[in-house]
Amino acid sequence: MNDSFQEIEAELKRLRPAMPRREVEERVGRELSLPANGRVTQQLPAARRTQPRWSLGLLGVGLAGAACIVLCVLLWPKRVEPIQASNAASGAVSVPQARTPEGVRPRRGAFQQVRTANYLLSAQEEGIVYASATVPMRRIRYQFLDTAQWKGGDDHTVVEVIVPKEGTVLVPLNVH
Amino acid sequence: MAQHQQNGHWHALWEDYGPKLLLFARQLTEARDDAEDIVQEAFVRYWRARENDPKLTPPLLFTMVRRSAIDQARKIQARQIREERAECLMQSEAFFESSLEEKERQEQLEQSLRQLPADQREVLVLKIWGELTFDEIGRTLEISPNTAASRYRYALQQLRGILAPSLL
Repeated sequence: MNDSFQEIEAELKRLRPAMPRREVEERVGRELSLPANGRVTQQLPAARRTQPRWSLGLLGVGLAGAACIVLCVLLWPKRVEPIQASNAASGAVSVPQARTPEGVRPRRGAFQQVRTANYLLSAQEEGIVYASATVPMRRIRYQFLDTAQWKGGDDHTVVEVIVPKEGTVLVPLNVH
Repeated sequence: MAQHQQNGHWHALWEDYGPKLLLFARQLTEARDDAEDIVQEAFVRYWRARENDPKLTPPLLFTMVRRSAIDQARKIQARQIREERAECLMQSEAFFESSLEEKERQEQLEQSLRQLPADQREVLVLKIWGELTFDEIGRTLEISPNTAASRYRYALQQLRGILAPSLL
């Protein structure tokens, strides 16, 4: 640095920062003497956190798991309800028929689910969580768009539902 | 330094870095208790991380302190704290240990230091007492090394202006 600052730098360096209190050191000692048990540690700085060897793999596993869950939820109970004659006559329609042109009545069971997809918006690693005394787990939060599309048989009416969702997965860690 | 890193004794690292980390943490949060909590959390996290990755170097401690402080500040509405911090700093406990023969001079220096803008003070602390390079300071504060160097220079200039001519 500039020679003109040497004097003030030297002056500052003579000041000795105060030590943390003794009990802080004791707390550190106690914490380090224990195994990491049920303690949630915060995330490492980004440069250290994103170790591509396994974090990306774990993220992939987490997202795949989340996708499976979403697919199960979508495919299990959500079959398109057949159109009720009384609804069609009165003009009241259920959700899948909501975009059907007025006066056109799709045939019973005409709507077929043609596509489901998840679009990942963001994934955020939230650090290591100790769910039990010995098992470290990596917590990953992600946001995605859950989409499902139905198509009508004759008039090619398309119904698409897009739901923004957010989820968190815990992935067990193996530290080698 | 390298020796105590290798033989795994955290005490030596604590003795060496505890005061530096506390001083840095106190630039980021106004209360000494909070700063000590931050230092404790960062130190434990660093030590555990280092057990898995021995290549981690102590300058990372400052980054961890900063992140812990940011997390904590977010929890308690950082903006207000940041605005009020300068005022609180003027009244809080001393940053430095004082020796009897230089007490007055030290107090004068410390008061001058507290009058600096926070961003300059952070750089100054990391450079003078943290003994980091401008590259390391840049990585810690997420600024460029040139910005770190500029802030450092401005800080020294301001300090020189603030301090009474008799002091230097």
